[in-house]
Amino acid sequence: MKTNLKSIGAITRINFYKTTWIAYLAALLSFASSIIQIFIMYLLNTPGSSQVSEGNELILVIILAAILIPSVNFSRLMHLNGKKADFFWACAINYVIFSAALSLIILVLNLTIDRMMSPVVELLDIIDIFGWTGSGIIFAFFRQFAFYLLLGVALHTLTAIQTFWWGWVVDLIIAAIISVFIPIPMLRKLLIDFFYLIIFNPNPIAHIGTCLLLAAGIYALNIPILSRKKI
Amino acid sequence: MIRFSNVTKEYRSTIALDDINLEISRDKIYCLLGRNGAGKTTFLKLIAGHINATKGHVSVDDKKVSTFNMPECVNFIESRASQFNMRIGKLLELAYSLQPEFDMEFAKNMMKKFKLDKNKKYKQLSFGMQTMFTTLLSLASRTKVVILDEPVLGFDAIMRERFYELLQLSFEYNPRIIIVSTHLIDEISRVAEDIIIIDEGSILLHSNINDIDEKAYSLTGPSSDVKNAVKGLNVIGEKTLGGYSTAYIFGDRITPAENVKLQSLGLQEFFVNIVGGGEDKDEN
Repeated sequence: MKTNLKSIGAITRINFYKTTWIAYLAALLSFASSIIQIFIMYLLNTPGSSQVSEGNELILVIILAAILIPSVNFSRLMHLNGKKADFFWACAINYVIFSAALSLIILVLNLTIDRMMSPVVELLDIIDIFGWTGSGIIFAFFRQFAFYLLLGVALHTLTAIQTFWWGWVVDLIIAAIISVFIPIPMLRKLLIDFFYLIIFNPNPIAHIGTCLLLAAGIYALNIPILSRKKI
Repeated sequence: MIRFSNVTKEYRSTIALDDINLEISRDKIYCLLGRNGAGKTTFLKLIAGHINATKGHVSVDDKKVSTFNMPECVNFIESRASQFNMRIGKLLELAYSLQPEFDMEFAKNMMKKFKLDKNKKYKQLSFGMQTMFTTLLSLASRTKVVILDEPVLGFDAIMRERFYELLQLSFEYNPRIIIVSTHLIDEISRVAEDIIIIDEGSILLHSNINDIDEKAYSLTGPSSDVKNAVKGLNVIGEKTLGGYSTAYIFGDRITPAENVKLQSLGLQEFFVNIVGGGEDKDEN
């Protein structure tokens, strides 16, 4: 697929603000409401109270952006004669930047507000729950980065296939895997092993490597998907 | 340059295009005519690689076109396509960034000429001005093929005049293949050189406009005389009222009998008859 750097840059910029403002707004509102709740709990000074960390609300940005970009921005860019190959590379840049920024912000919030509040309010942060802070700040950043990237590209790919009949079949297969695997102990173990690998992996390098490889593999599926996508 | 080879396009049980063979090679303005649902937009989308053919193939510059292989030398912006709701000046800059061959100077000049306010947001424009803007985006690209799908939809008479002027200017400035799909036959015939007529998914005619002027005519007179006159001719439509008939012919001109009158056909009348809308018999 032939690409054009100027066009990739333009699509990347557009994806950062057109339509994705909805993702920022939703995440910001969620973040604000969470922080208000935390401050009220802090002021009421009720020991033993717990609340989800405000930083975790920001993950909504990558979740919503990964749905909005392929479902809204794609067709509008193609209607301006954008190229599919440029869209492919631009979105990859978008998700890398989204993941890095989110990872950094959530880490900073975890080390500042969450620590400050911890004597009074127990803040449940996924980076602590998943044990990502156990190997130091640098690894915590890259573990988050790799996981958010995997989450973003997986959602982007799932959204992109919804215009094909087989996209719905994939949805059904995913739902079936989850509902069938959970009650059967042997299959449940497979599911647990998979989540263990991409979330609870105690080895930070194996965790980062697995997430990045999976993200690259899933995102590569967008080449045949985009090629078949009608406008 | 553009070649349709046995192209069929089906949408489930509906056949939109049926075994089409066609070649468009010279730089001209082509007018694509057809009734609603005749298959015009499908025809255009296949050239741009927005959709795939069910059977056969379309090629542009000898390369097969598909959604996998969209030709970069074709510019097609659907007139009713959704666009980002941003200031149109910004939208123009975005189009410039997305298309390496975009002619910004031409686009800016045309924006001034058509009094398009660059600070207005796309959705603040009237329907006609939105169409004019997307048309301008297409014409400003320097691609070898430009496709305009019903570009005068929603235009008043003055806007339509300006559009034809823009089309002419753009072609003179940068001669290439421009395919315009429209319903306003007589107006487009002032700028188009060739006409392609699609009906019920088939190509009814691909001809030069001058040839149509030459070959399309009507014969009017007493029914029996007209019946005798049209023997062996290509009759594309008929009208009978009382004892008088009019037969619409497409072919070499004849010298009719004294009481049968020959008249040239306007393009609109020719189109109506060739697509089968001209049969109107009154047996009273």
